[in-house]
Amino acid sequence: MLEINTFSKIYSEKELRVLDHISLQVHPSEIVVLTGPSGCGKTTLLHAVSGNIRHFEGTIKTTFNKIGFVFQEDRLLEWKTVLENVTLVAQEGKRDRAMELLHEVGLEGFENYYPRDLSGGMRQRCAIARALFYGSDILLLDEPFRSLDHKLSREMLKLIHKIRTEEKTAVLFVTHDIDEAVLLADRIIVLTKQPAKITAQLQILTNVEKRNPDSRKSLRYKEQIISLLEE
Amino acid sequence: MVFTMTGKNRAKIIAFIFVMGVWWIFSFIYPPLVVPTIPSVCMKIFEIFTHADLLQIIPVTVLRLVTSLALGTLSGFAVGFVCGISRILREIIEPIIGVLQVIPPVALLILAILWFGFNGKPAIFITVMAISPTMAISVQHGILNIDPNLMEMGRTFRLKKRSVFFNILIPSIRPSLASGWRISLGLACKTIVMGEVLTTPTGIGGALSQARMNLEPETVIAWTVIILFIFYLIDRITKRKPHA
Repeated sequence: MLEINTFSKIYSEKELRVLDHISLQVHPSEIVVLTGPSGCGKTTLLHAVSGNIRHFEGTIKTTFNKIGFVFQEDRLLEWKTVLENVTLVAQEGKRDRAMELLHEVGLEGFENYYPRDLSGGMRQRCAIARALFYGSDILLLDEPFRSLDHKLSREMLKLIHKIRTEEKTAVLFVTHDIDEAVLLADRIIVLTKQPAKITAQLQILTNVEKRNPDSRKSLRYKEQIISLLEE
Repeated sequence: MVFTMTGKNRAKIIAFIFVMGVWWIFSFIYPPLVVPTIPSVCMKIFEIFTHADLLQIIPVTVLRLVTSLALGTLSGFAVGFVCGISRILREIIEPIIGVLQVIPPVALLILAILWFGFNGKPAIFITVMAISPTMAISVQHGILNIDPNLMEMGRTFRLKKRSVFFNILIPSIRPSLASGWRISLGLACKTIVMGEVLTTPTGIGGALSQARMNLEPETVIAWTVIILFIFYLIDRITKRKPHA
């Protein structure tokens, strides 16, 4: 389990408080979506969970051993092929698993390409495959589908669900796309603008398979989120 | 790609023809003692490569050159690496590198003669002292300019230090390493021969000294061409193609 208690972050050089007493939990195989206005500190929170930000107020406790991350930027190594970029993060080779994931993200046949030969969307899918290949207990995703078209981003959502079901991976997902949030989340956490506080937590009870962004229930959730964001 | 290569080769051929043309014209204007003719230099090169006693001069200098390059680049890499990763060590070492860059090689050469005597060692010493700061600065610059996002990615996925070193750090600094190496190689070729001229009768520097005393400008140019060839050869061997 991931347990964040009264987390606050102040960037001392700018005297900027971005997050203010945030407390939340993520349980094993739960998908939690964080949404909120731009610059409210969602990325900061993910980096604190991953251990990249060490100075903050409050506590972050976790029983999750391996933390995977899909960054906003793909952060691929330009001198490694797609396959090498994916297999880099695991100790043992497991080439077949990497090939399987590349197939899942639609990069089959591109395994020997270098990142410079890929489009922005393909690069991001490679970064997603890398994070999935890592075999994490919790997966942090920071607006991972920004550069993907509608169809691809829906396919990636299905893949995240599949990984959660098959590998019991917990997911903490940051997005601005409310459709994405409603389709993916078990729970949506809405943050206020800076300094961000949690304004609401919505439990999405509809079965994932039956979710439709245009259904009445989804529309209600979306209206609720939009009104919270506009407050 | 093919057009670029053809263009590059064409430019090289034009440059070569231009230099040869200027040389040829000057060799008509000035006497052979000032500007030797092209055939006389070619004959001299042929003579060097066909006479065992002359030919064995080359490996002596090449060995000194390779030794200097190995010591200079390794020590430069080590110093540049620690300066790149430690701010405190950088602040201590940077002024020393600055001083080493300003000291004239000849001044170091005189000290080296006192320490090592009249043999090849002073030439190796000043060459190492010339290239080590260049490599150190290049490596330090490379490390300081590594994309921090990539290092953060490595930490997030808990890559082992060895993996970070070989998969992120070294490839990231490769452009700086390549330019540092190329500058060092040119510097080493010049410095080693200068050191030999002033400290030892052996090697290409020793042969140049002999040619100066015998007033043989064609021999001087012949050995210079051979040094250029050695530079070109080492450069070609060590030049690594960028990833496909």
